[in-house]
Amino acid sequence: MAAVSDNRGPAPHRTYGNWRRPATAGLGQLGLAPTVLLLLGLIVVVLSMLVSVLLALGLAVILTLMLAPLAVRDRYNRTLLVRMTTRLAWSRSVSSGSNLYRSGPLGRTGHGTCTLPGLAASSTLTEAQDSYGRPFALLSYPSSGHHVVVLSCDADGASLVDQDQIDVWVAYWGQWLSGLSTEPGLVGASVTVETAPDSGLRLQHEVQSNLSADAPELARTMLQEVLAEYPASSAQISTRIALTYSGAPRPGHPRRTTDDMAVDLGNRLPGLTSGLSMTGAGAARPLTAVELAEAVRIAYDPAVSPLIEEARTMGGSGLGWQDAGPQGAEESWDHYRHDSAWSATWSMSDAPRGEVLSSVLNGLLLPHTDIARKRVTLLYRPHDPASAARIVERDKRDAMFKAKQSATGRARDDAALQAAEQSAQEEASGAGVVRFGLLVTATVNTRDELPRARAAVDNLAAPARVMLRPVWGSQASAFAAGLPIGLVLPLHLAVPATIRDNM
Amino acid sequence: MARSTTPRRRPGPRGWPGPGGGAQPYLDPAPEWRGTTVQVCGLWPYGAGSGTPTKGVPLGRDLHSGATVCCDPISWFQRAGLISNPSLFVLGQPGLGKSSLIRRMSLGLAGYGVHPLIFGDLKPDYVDLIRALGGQVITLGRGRGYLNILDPGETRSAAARLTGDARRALLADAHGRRLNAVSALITILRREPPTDREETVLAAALDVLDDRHQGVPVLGDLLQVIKDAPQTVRDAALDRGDLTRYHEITERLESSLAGLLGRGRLGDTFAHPTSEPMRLDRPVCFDVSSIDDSEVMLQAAALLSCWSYGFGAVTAAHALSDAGLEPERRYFLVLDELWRVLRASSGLVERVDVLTRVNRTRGVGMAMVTHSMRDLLALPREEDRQKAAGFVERAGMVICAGLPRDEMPRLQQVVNVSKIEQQRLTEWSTPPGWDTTDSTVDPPGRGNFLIKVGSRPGITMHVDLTQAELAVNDTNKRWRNRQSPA
Repeated sequence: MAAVSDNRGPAPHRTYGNWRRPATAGLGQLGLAPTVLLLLGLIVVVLSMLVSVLLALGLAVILTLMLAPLAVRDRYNRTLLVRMTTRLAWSRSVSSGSNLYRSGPLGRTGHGTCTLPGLAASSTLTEAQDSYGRPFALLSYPSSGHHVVVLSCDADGASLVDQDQIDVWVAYWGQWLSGLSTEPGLVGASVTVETAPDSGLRLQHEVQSNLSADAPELARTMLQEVLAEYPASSAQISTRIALTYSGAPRPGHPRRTTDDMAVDLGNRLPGLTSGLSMTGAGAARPLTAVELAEAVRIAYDPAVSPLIEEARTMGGSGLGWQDAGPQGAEESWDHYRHDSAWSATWSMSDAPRGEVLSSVLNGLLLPHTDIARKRVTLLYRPHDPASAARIVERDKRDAMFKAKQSATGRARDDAALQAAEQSAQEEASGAGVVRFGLLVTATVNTRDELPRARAAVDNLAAPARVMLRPVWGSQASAFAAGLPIGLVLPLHLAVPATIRDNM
Repeated sequence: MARSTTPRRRPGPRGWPGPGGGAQPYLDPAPEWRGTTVQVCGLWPYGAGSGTPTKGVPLGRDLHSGATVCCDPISWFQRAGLISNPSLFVLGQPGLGKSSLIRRMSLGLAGYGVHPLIFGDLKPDYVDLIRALGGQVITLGRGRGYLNILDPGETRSAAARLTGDARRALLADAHGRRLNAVSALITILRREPPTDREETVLAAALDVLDDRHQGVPVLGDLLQVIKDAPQTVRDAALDRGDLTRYHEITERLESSLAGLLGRGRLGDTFAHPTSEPMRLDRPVCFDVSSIDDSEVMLQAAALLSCWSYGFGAVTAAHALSDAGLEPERRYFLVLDELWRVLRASSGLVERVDVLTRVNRTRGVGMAMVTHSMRDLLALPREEDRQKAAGFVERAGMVICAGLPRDEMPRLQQVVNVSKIEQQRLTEWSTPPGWDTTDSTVDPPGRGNFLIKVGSRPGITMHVDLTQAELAVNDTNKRWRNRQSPA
């Protein structure tokens, strides 16, 4: 924000907003495809009136029944069609037993392993070295041809930082995001901020491994007392960034194998991690294969967390990807039970309304006493620069079309038009265009704690100005999408994105 | 293997098929929004921070997240690589727990096998702790104990065990340190530094003393050498062969040295052989608390002599361990009440500056403690102010307790403290309420500290003392004693 001279008081805070739900132009609530269907249907109805009024009436009823599921939307802006599909798919999943997952020696998976359930079942994990010689985990999804690297960050936090410094960090974060749109082959990125109770084992290890053999008695007693008293009720926060690249052939590039990707990403990683240092993410480094397997294993089974921490201090757990998944998991309509814990996942059904400050998500990200473990995942899908320009121009046209529909000119449409014009302006001056979503996963240790965690998440959503909807009937996949394993769900759908976008 | 002959089942794109396979045939991706990156970045995910490093002595809890804060200059420098040199500067108003913090750090480091060395304890704040740790307490003061600043201490015996370059380097270092200490005492006495000519004369006289004197010389022997006017000293004084001229040149020097011999303001503390030599294999505390607070110059002289003597001993210990003659020892040096020395006389900053450059040696952490930046920046001479500010700038980390508001611009000159951090520090210096019925009420900021490393955002923490420590943490003992008989 530009500096404001002193006599005008303190500088106003930089605000952010002006994001929109990707929608195509249509009549009222309808998207492009249903609008075309409606118009064609009306023509047929009018034509059939020449034949028979009854036939026309019948056709009109059929047309209404066909369009109603697309036009009726609930408060989460989901159409009746989507809700019906979800119900149907859920009951089929329950009846076929695929909402259950059993792995390990007696399970349903091959080779007696504990692979991840669902979409990540066929994923493989390899380790390569980047051009700085740092080892990094490369997670590959053979079915979709996606390859994922995960970075771990060490953020300083905003609690003691002046707003102008935060504004600089946020601006650089925007720059980093816009840089993603020019990353060749990048299809998605996610930032996962996980809070977990501190087991106190790190402190214990620190003290015990450094305690000198001939330490004075008083020092020994003091350190023992610290170990007993301090760790209670403290929390650990870890920030991870997953970058998903597609190995699919592009013009001028043949299909790339895992090895090709390892070389390619290894050259790219130093640039990506150093770019993060100015964004407030702190020092970033790639996760190693073992670290990633450990992170995923702990997410599915928080009870092993102390064991893994202990193993780390003794030279590493050596956990492989084949053992990173849960032994057993059970998906319910509104929660997900996995190994030792129960989780519920929400997705953002409405982005923060109006203009927000950069601190808007802080409350949601910080540790909460009622939720043992919490993951907040921001999902990004950047548009490449070419389509970005097309999209903002189309948005502008669509907004103009909507604004011109009513003769009087509704204020809402005028505002939308203004917003679209602003976006076009920003895009033209170098910003990228990115799609984003948000997932919140709360994990608790007993089933009884779930209602309290639900209430806590509801309370956190309001100050973050987001509307959260439990991902009913799809908890398992939403849980997986919230993990730092780079699953980009929109690219795994059976219905092509172009059709969905136009609905 | 069976695998090669009969193909096993493979997971499909949505997971293992069949009941219990956990396949996810229906996906419900999170709804997406679209925006330009200059707007979407506003949903900034790094506001929560990632916690503090768990390396070092556990000091207390983070005020923000409740996580345990581990911090000490040695661990942060050696193991965590967080700071560029193992020194620490502590700033804070009196009564807010600076000494408790340093005691906790010393105690923890003692547990980690580092010997805390308290160079000058004026209160006494550390005597109980060092006694409890089984360390050595050396008492200094009028008629209570002597510290001979010409005593090379361990250096001489150490040098005797060394050979070649190591020996030469150690002796040269000891020589420089001695000259520096004598100059510093003269500076305190005169309230101005000796001239360059006088320093040259002193250096030459010390050389002569080394050649002629048997055993450990004292200041009286040095004075005698100058009075005797040997040829090398006369050459250094540039007397052009004229003895009268020599006496003119050295007159002030002689009178200053005579002042140090017991008849001057500084008493005889520095004129006699050292009463209790310092041991290097245990925690040590120089107790100078018997010197009255009104004797500003004696306090400063005592502190400075402790530092000179102590740093010399540490250098000797390192020379020995480098040569493989002694086990590697690590030390944590505490220079408390820095302001008393700096305020005693102008020109001392230079001396302290030279003295404190020992911390580049590995395994030596150093903590300097003072009340405020004002102590450093209120010095009369501009170059002194610059150098004093340099103490803070050079420190690997700065820990601040509560400070008054007018300190902030001065603090801002040397550490990058954000407005929010400034606000915290000011809040912590607020006195407690007027309620006198409950004597256990602490000032609101007692025990709260801000750890700053460079321009990184600070860590605010509260030091929680444990039961075991409370016995050695009674800093208001004198007050308590006065109340108890009533």
